[in-house]
Amino acid sequence: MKSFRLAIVLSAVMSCLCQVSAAQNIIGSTTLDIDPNSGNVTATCETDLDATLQGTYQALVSCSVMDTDGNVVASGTAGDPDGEQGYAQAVLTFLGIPGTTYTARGHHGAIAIFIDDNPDDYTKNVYDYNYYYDPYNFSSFEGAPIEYPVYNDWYGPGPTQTVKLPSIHVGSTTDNKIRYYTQSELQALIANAQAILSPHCDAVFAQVIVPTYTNANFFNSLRVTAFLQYPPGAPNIPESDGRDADTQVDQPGRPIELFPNFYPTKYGFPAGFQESVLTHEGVHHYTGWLDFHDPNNPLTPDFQTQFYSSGYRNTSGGSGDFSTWITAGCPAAP
Amino acid sequence: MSRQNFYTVVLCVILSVIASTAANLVIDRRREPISADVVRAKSVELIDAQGRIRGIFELAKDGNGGVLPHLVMRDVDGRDSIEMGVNGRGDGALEFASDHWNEGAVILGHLQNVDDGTESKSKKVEDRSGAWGLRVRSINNRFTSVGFLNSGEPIAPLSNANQHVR
Repeated sequence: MKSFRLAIVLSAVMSCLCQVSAAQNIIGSTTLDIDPNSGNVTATCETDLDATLQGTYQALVSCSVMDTDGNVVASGTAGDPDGEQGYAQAVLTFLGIPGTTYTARGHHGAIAIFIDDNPDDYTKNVYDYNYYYDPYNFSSFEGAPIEYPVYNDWYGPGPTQTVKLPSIHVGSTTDNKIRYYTQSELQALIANAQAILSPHCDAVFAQVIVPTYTNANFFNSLRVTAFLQYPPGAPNIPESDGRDADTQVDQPGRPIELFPNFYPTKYGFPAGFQESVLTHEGVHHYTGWLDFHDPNNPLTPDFQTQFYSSGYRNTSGGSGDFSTWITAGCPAAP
Repeated sequence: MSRQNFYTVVLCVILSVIASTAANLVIDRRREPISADVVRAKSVELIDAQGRIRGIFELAKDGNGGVLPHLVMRDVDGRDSIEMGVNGRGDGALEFASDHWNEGAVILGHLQNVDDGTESKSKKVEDRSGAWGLRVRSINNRFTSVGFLNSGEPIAPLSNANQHVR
């Protein structure tokens, strides 16, 4: 009697331990990385089979990357046709567009074993008579596949099933990142701003921003400015209130913040928009001047006063008028 | 303790656990659901069937150690279509994005007019550069507004495509 009870208790304990330690998992992961120097986006989607499943299933993964607008910009699939690797990995790489949030999604699955129940019958319809062997019942996940961030394990609950289609989709993993401007792209925008600055604007700046202004000094200063980037969807975007950029003239180094409107939508920008914004912020950065006269800082010069005799008029109440004036070639007042 | 007594103790413990679990389940089922008149949270997210966040009502960080109430509604592709919030000064605005501008294509409420970092950030400092009204941004980066600058000057809409009129 004692032995019988002991056997029952030990059986229960062993049963529990077996449930905990049994490894019959499909492991899925998706990671998306963006190289801050090149702007290249790399999505890696992988399905791994643990040792128990290898030889019983073949790993399968399909990978896609979508942009902020939900368009698929890259996709691919990978398998493990011979079942030798125990995993399938799809890697997608492409050059991203600044300001875009890229979302990679990996669909993870396994290919069940083909069973030919009547190999000698060459006249049969393959779709009617063949089926596939799913010993750990991963097909139970197919009814309601769930998406997980970055990584997930799917434990095959059993019992053995037979399925008509070999490919079993257990679920998805996903990852996303925002593509920021690279330093070289910002430098290219500054170079373009320098190239398209009208000779008249250059002469006006030389006349007003005295005594230090030269074209080279001005743009070289802008080149070494710290840019704080806040593309759409970035965390903790300061109160931008629909503005394009902001120069912190009261901060050391006068850093320039780039807000969501400095990043393109699918329609791009009006010609010269980004360049005039950068030049505008460059004047703040170079001089420390304000947009308007500020009675709280009466000694700090402002654009309205300094450029008035050169023809700048603020008519909308907004600072964007200065960018518009630069785009127009800094014309004299009508 | 003899081996037989030991097994008896183990069996009793197991039966006790089963009995107490069953009793708790029965009691839980009989418990009346509590309906909350007030929900307290720092963030509420609306999630669609695909798990995407389509709306957020949160206390967002203001970058200075404080938090600001913030409401966002996103389109199916994750863009912030509508935002309503209060800035660090306590002034509120409702903003709409458009196909051409990621934010502030239309702003109703407080209008921020400077980009030199000197805007008033506290009610203790007069908001001299701001305005209240409605501002609309065109696809080719022109603005038209109606409202009043905080200096008292009116902001009038554009009279034609090339001119701003105060």
